[in-house]
Amino acid sequence: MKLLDVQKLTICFGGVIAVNEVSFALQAGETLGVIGPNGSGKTTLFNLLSGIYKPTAGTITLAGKPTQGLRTDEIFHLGLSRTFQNGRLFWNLNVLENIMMGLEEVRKTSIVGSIVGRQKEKDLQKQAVQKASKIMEIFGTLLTSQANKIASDLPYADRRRLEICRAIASNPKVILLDEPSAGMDGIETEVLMNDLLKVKKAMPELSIIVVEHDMGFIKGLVDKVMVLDYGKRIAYGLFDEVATNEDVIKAYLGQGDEAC
Amino acid sequence: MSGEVFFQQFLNALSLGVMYALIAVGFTLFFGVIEVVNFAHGEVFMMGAFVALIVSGILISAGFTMGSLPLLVAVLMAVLVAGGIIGVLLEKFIVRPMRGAPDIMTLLITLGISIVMREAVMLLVPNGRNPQPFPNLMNLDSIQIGGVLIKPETILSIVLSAILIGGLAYIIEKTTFGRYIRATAQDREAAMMMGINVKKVFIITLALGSALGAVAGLMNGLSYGIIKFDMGFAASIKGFAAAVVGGLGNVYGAIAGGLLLGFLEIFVVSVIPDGSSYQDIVSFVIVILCLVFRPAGIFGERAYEKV
Amino acid sequence: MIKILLTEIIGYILFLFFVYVEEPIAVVAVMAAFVFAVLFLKKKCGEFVKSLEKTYADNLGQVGIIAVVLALTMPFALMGDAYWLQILNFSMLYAIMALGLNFMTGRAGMICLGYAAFMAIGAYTVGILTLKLGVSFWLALPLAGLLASVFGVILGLPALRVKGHYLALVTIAFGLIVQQLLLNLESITGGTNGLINIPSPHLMGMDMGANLNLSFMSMSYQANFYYLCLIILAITTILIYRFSNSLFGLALNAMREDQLAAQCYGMNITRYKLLAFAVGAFFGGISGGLYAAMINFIAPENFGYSMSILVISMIILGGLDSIPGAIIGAFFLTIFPEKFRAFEDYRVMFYGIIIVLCLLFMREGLLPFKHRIFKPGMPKGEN
Repeated sequence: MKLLDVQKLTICFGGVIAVNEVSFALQAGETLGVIGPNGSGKTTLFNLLSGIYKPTAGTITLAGKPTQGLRTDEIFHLGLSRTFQNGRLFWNLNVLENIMMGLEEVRKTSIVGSIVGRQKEKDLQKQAVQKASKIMEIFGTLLTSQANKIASDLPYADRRRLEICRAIASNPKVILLDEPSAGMDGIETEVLMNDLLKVKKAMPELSIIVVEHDMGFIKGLVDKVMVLDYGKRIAYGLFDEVATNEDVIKAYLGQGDEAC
Repeated sequence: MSGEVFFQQFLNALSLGVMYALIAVGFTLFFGVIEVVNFAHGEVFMMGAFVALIVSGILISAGFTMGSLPLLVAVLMAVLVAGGIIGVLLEKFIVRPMRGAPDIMTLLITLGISIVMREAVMLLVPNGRNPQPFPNLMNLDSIQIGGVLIKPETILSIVLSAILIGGLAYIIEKTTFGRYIRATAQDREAAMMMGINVKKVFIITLALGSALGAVAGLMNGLSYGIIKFDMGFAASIKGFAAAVVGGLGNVYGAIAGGLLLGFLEIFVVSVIPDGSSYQDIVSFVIVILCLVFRPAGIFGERAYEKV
Repeated sequence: MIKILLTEIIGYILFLFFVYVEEPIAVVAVMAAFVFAVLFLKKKCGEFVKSLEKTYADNLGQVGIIAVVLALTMPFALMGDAYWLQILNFSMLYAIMALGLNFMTGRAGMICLGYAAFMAIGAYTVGILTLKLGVSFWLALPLAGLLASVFGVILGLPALRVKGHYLALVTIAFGLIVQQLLLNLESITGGTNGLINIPSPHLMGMDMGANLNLSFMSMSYQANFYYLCLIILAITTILIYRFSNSLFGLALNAMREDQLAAQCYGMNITRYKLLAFAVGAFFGGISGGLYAAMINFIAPENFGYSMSILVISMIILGGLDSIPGAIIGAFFLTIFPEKFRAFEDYRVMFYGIIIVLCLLFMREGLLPFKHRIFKPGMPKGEN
C-alpha cells in the first residue's frame, strides 16, 4: 500500500518553476533520500508536502487522503511531520517542552480545562512529560541529561537531535528530514546516522524522506534515492543505480560534492 | 470640480505626498537594510521642524533677514545635519544594542525613545505644550494664476523633495556606497563576508533616512506655519503606512506609497462632505486594507522569510 | 514559610515607609539603599538569594495567601487614608490590565499597542448598563469583560494575517479607532463629555460609594473598592497562572517562539491567536468596568494611546511573560510617581525612559520569567 503518493507535483513562483511535475511513491517503513544540487527544489518539495506552499498543479496523497491545499497543521494531524533546514526549534523553551509540542496531549487541552477539571490537565501534563522523556532516550543520555536546558543553549548537534525527537514525538507516518547532518563533522554525522538507524528500528512503520548532501550518509540510511535538478526528477532508484546515472553526474559536475 | 480647483488640490496633494514620501523612504530604508522598524522616525520629523524653528530664531536675531536665501540655506543645512546626527545617535544607542534581540523588543525600544524625544521637546521648549508658530522663512507672496493660489512653500516642498529623493536614489543606485547599502539589504551575512563594513552601512542608512525625515519636518513647518510637539506621532503612522503600502524595503515603493497617501488624503477631504475630520483616518483604513489584501505591499516587500 | 512571611512583611513595611515619609529625597535614599542591599546580597550571598527564590517558587500558594492576608490589613495600616487607598486601587486595576496584556503579548507573542481600547469598552459597558439601563453592577461587570473579549476577537481577525511590526501598527490603529468611535457615538457614549454620575455598586444593601463604617473606625469609600479590587486581582492572578502553566499556555509560547514551526506541529494558529486576544482583552474590560464604578465618571480621553503605552511599560519593567513581574511592574509604575507629584509633567517621559532603560540594561525585567523545571518521568515541578 502506498503510504505517500505524489503525482506530477508542480509549483511556480513568478516565472520560475521551482518543482516541475515531480512524482514518486513511498511505502510504509521505506526511507527515501532526496539529493540534488543546491536550488534544485528539495526544500520547496518539503514545503509542498508539509503544506507551507500550495501546489500549482499535481496531487499529494497521504494514507489515502489528498493533502494538497490543506493547512500545515491539518497535514500534521494526518501523520506528517518535518524538520527544517535552518533548524526551527522553540528557542526559549527547554528540551522537554520542545518535544512535548509534538505530542497530541498538547492539543487535547483547552483553556477551560486549565481552570475546570484540573485533574485531567494534571494527568495530561504528567503523561506528556513521561512520553517526551521516553522519546529523548533514543539518543541515550545526550538529551536526557539536558532535559531542562533551554533550546538555544544547546550545542549544535544536540539541537539537531532535538528536532528529530520533536518530529517523531507524535508517532507520525512520514517524517521529512531537511539536511539533518548540516554543520556536523564526520564523526557526528556517523553518530547521527546510527541514531537514525536506531529510530528506524524502533519505529519500523515509519517512512522517512531525507534531504542530504552527504552521500555516505544517504547510502547508509536509505532504501531508494530520488534526484532533483532544476525542480525536475532526473533519477529514481536504488543508490548504486542512481550514483552511476549519467544525468545525475552531469547535474553534479562542478558542485564539488563527494563522489561515491 | 473645476479645472482650477482640481489643479489647486493637485498641488496640495503633491506637496503633501512628497512629504510623506520623504518620511516613508526613511522607514523603508531602515527596514530593508537594518531590518528594524523605527517608531522614533516620526519624532525625527518633529525635531527637524523644531531645529528649524530654533536655528532660524537664532539666525534672525543674529542679523539674517527673513526671506533671504542665506537664511533658508542655513536652516536647511542645519536641519539636514541635525537629522543626520540624531540618526547616528539612534543607531549607536538604541538600534545597535538591540542586535539579536527579538523584534518585539527593538520595536518597543524605538517606541520608548520616541516618547522620550516627544516629551523632552514639550518640556524644554518654552510653552512647549502649545502649538508654536513657525517663522515665515520664505517671505514671498503667493502667485496667483487664474483662480489658483500657489504658495511658494508648496513649490519649495515639491522641488526640494524631488532633489533630495533624486539624490538618495542616485546615491543608492550609482555610487559604490549605495551598492554596499543594496548588498546589505539583500543579504547581510554575504555582505559582511565580502568585506563590506556593515556597521558603517547601518550608521549611514540611519543618518540618511533621518536627515530626510527631518527635512520633511521643516517642510511641514513651512507649509502650515505651525508646529506642535506631538506632530511626530501622526507622521510616524502615516509614513509607516505609506512605506507598508509601497512594500517595506522597497525605496521606490515608499515614494509611490507616500504620493499615493498624499493624494488619497486630499481627495478624501475635498470630495467627502465634512471630510477634514476623516483625513487622518484615511491612512489607517488604507493600511489595514492593504495588510489584509496585499500584505507585501503594492510593489512587494523586500525581505524574505527563509524556511 | 517563615522566610516567605518575613520577606513579605519587609516589603509591607517598606511600602508603608514609602507612604508615610514626606521628603522625596529621603524616600529615594531608602529605595536606593534597598536596591544596593539587594544587589549586594545577590553578589555576596548568591546562594542565599537563590534558595530564597526557590522557596518562593516552590510555595506559590503560601506566597499568595500571605500576600492576601497582609493586603487585607493594609487599609488599617494606612489609617483609612483615602488618597493612598485610591492609589492602591489604581495599582490593582493596572495590575489586572498588565496581567491581561502580558498574557497576550508576553506569553502568546501578540504585540498590542492599543490595549487601552479594551479598558474603554469595559468602562463604557458598565457605565451605560448601570447608568442608562439600571442594570446591576454585578451583572454588568462580567458583561464588560465579555464584550471586551468580543472586541479582542475583532482585533484578532485582521491580526491573524499580519505579524510583528505590522501587528503593532494594526493594534495602534485599533486603539485610535475605538477612541474615535467613543467620541463620535455621542448619543450612546456622551461624546467628549463622557458619562457622569455612574452609580456605585451596591453589595448586600451597602452602597460601595459611601464610607465603610466599622464599629471602631470609619474609612472613606475607597476602602470598599480596595477589597473588591483585591479579590478580583487575586482571582485574575490565579486564572492567568492556570492558563499560563497549562499545556495550552505552553502551546502559546511555542506560537510566540516560531509560528511556522508551531503550525507544522499541529497548532491551529487561528484558534490560538483569537483565544489569546479574547483572554487578554477580557481582563482589560474587567479593569475598565471597575474603573467606571469606582470613579463614577469616564471620558474617551482617559483611554488613549498614552494608557496603552503605560501598560506596555509595566510589563516590560516587570518582565515579559512573568506573572509576578506584571503585578510588580504595575504597582511600581503607579505608586512610585506619586511621591514625585511635583514632577507630574515628567511622568510620561519617565515611562518612556523606563522602557528604554529596561530594554537596554534589564531586558528580562525585574522579576524575570522562570522556566519550568521538569523531573523527567515524574510530574512537572512548579516554576
